[in-house]
Amino acid sequence: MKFAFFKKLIAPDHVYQGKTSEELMVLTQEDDIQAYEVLYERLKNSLYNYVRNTVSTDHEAMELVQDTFVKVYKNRKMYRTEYKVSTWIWTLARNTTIDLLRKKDPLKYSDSEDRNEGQLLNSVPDEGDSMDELLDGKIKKEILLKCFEELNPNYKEALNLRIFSENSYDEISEIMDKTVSSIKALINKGKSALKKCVENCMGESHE
Amino acid sequence: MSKKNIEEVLRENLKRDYPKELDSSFYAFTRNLKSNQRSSRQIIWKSAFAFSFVTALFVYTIQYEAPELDRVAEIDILENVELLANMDVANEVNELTEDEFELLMSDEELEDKTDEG
Repeated sequence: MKFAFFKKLIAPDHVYQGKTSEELMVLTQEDDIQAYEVLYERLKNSLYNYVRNTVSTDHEAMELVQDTFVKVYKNRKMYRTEYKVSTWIWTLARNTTIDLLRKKDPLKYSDSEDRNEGQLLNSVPDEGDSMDELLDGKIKKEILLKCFEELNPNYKEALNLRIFSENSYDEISEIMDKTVSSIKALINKGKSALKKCVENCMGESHE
Repeated sequence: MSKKNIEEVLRENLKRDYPKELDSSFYAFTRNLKSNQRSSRQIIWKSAFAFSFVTALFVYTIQYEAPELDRVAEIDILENVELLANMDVANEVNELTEDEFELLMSDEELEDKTDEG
């Protein structure tokens, strides 16, 4: 820990670039601020996009991302190397986001998350092939955004994590504290719901 | 279009630019951390320096041996002090008490008177 200063003297920037996120996090634990900055640069875009697609305004997303990175540094000693850094950071971001959403709307974000889990496990939909066809066509960005915004919070979160955290199903299941099969179900359900919404919106626009 | 591509399409459409304000606030935070680290390091160095200075001074004091000349002078002084002390003792021995003095003086007076007589 005490040698971080000396390591930094002999370690130029490109040395940090060659390290994994986990190695950077270990250096951050040893109070190496430069490693922390490289880690930030590596994860900031994905994390911002994940958070931004969970909350409704840019301002909230900025505040949450800022809080998350401060928490990452403050809780750096709690990180254990057996976990992936992105899983740990996304869990921090998710908890911070849920806290904010609960403050805004306590009823919607209380314990409703697990309400449909059993049902989901019993009715895992197909992978949504027809949605592929739909997306193959000329889909309008606004429609997709609107439909994504209107998704059930659980579907939205699972899809959001899948798209922006670049984590596997296993890791997403750790972040959301659910089983892998229920994560798969949530993602497939989310895609189906998104497809239905897009179809409806496009049908309306054709009419 | 494959399943992977569905996610690609969503990623492309939902992606937003990272706000520059966040970068500036993050780097202000890390600058602050760095300056805190620097000042705590300075405190550590200063404390270490002060401690080693005091330790060196302590060791030097313990191991100090006076030069030969000073030791000769010290012995002379001690001898003189001893001499003076002895002289005081001698004076005390030779000193007459008041009664003894009076007695001595009175004998002399008697002798004077008999001589006159």
